[in-house]
Amino acid sequence: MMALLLAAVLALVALLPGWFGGFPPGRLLGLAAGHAGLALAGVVPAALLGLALGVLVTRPSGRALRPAADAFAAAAQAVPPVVAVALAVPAMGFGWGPTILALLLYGIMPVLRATVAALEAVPPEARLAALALGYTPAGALREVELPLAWPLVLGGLRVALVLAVATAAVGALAGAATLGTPIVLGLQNQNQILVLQGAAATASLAFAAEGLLLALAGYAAARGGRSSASPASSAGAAQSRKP
Amino acid sequence: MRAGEVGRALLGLVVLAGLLLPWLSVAPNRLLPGVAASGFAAISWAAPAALVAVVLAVPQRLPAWLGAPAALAGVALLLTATGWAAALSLEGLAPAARAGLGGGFWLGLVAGAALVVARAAALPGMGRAVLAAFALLTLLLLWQAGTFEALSLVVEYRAREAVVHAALLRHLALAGAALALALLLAVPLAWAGFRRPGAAGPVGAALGAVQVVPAIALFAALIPLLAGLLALLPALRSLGLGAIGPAPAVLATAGYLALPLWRSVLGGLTAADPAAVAAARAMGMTEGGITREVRLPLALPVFAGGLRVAVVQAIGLVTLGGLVGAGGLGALVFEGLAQFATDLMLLGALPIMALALAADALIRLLEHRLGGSA
Amino acid sequence: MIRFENVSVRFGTTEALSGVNLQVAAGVLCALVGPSGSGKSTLMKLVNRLVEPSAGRVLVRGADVAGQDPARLRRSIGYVMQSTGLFPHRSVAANIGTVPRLLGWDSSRIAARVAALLELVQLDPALAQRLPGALSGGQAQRVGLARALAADPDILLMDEPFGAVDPITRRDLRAELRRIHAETGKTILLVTHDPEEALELASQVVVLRDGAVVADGAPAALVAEDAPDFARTLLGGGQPGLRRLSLLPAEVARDGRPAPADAPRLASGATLADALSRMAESGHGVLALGDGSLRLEAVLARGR
Repeated sequence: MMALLLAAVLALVALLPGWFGGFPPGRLLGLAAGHAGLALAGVVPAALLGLALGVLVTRPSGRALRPAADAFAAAAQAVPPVVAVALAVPAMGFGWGPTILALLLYGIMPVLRATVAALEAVPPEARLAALALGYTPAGALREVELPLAWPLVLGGLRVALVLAVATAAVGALAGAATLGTPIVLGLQNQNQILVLQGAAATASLAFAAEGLLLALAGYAAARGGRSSASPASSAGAAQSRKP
Repeated sequence: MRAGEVGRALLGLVVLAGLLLPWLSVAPNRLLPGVAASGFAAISWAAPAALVAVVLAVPQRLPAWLGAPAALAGVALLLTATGWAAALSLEGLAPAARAGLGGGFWLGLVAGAALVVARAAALPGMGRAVLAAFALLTLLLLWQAGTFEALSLVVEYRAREAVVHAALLRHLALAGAALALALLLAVPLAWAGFRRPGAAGPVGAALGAVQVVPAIALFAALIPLLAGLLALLPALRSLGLGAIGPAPAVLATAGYLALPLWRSVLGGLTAADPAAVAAARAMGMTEGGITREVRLPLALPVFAGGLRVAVVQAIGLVTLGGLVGAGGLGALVFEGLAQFATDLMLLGALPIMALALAADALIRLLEHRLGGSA
Repeated sequence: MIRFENVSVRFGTTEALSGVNLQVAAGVLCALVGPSGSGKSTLMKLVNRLVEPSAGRVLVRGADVAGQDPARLRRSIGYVMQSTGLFPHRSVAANIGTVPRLLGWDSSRIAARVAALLELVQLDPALAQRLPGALSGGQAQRVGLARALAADPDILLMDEPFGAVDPITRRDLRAELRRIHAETGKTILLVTHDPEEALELASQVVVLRDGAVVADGAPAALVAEDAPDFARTLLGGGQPGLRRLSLLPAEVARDGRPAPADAPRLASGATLADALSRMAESGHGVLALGDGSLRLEAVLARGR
């Protein structure tokens, strides 16, 4: 709930100067909606892809691809999103393209890592028991492995979403209209109010995303009768990278 | 067909796709778009030859000591032929004309290199070291021989050699300063958290909250905040602190590095088995002795892991320093973005990636050593 | 009911089982014993295709398992493991109802079956809605047994089922298993590294060593003098004579002559080991048993 509170305070900080000659609140809200939409549009397919890849490399048939997936994840971690956005510009031009590419790239990693870690943390005896009782491999995955892995995967989703909000902000440098736009405008024109508004709005959106996913994890944990969501959430944050 | 083979076959297909895409383009100057040619058109016979050599790394039946060097030779041939083709294509054109590398080249190069690495994984450690040394030597010799001088990227580099070198040093200095500042913050906090576990929770929450703030927002927000602070306390200005420049970049970066460092120091200190600590105490070791002889050896590999994350993050995050007037390689990237000068952008971005990957690999090696001895 | 024909299993370059021939008749509780790495667990997992043979055939109910759908085969065979393998995210009732649900039973039939099974393994029905994490080791093991029995399989595979519980609970669970086996008449394959458990529960004991069967027979026969040395040493626990006496009822050594008037009386149902102990504590070489007597020489003669 701390995160949602911070999000509300930062939103006030971002909107208030608008009535005193700063960036107009209406436009800021429009940019925020675009920003959130862009982050979601990038993170949803990326998360599905990361989940599928994570499942694939933990299956017996896909285990040989595991080193390649690890190497890919490590290499992508070493490239800051701002560089990824910049590198995509020559290929895709200014606008939404480079940002969407970077969003896809950076959305896959945390979900992939969390999925692999979570599936590997499933007690091997639970998996063996599922097979021994007569679940098909797909049935064991659906009914036993994924439900047990879900809280940790949710932690990865949270990291991915927060990272997506940050990456979308950087997208402003490549011409995408997001909450990064007032920051870039303010830096170019030495307008510190604009910079502050953009920064506060971006941070507010990130905290809102964090808070909502934490609430979702808490709800899932309460329904499942477990509290395994909290170690997962802190494990994921160390892997996050800011553009 | 095994999964490893499938993966390598896919990489081989990516190399082929790269050769079919725009490989080299000739433009009248550094900013205007050029006329692109595919790999097969640009480097003619070298394209199929290199492709065949690279694909030798795919089949499992071909031994790795044959496949990996063959693929390496293929990649070297791609590089060399591209350099020569660039020189050839500029003959008779105005001096401002540029031969730029296309997306296909980068795709083919990365996929080819990945194929070499993937196949070399089957080699013994010695074999991998020899192959890596050979690859570096080849690259150095090609560079020395002037093979790449006609490429737009290299022309841009030659034109700005001093600037790029200065930016590189500046980048390292900024990252180093941020790392030092973060260590100054994280180590005492971790020690306090270790001594009084109650303190660890709030510290972790605060450092975790910093992680949620998008970096571009924190970098930017520090400018008005520092400006406000300097207005209140003008004396700080005489210490070299400014609202624009290295101060916001180092401060913001250090803010992000504090969490992985704090967590790894704390995790390392608590990594020691309580039973081992109790046994040491029972044998009459002092607290200092226990920390020195039991806790630290167990803590070092964990700490090295956190340090690796922090160093890689530092190199990446400092890039944004280019936005707030701190300089560094990020400044080149943003200047390139502003001018839509691809080569300039690459001059900033490529060293950042190389630095990050090299730091990651080096500290991983260190972790391995520490983990092995502990 | 279960037959292994010349079965070998190879994992990479190591041979886990080589040329095993074995038959387990319907209704028999067969214990597989041997040191760790002897292949006893592997042998058991061949039955429900958790392990595939590299050579030979495994027949269950007269049909080669190789031709059967693994999932369907496994649903027809109960499986209990040492670490229980209960699904931590599902309630006790849902755990027990796993196989019936896979078989498509309707929910009221499953609920009735779960209630009956809780009673069979003597668990409080109030535990049904708990998660496995809230159970004690012994309770979890009982749930595991109930889950294996849920669809009323005629074959039960048990992989060291009592290995992870304390000695007192283990004793209770063994008694429970003996009772359930007597009540249901299921064919049970029990893997254990505890010779005492094998001798106490099983009517057929199979001793394995380095992937081969070294002895196969009734418990008492495997600790007799003419049994293979390895089996005798493993099962005898250093006192094979005493072990054997403990496996034989006192009746087998009774003779018709009446006992002297002062001879202590041995309870009916006692074993020869009980008789020997009674003699040692009373100082008498003759005990009264039924309307006859039991003499020290006759007891000792049975110990070989």
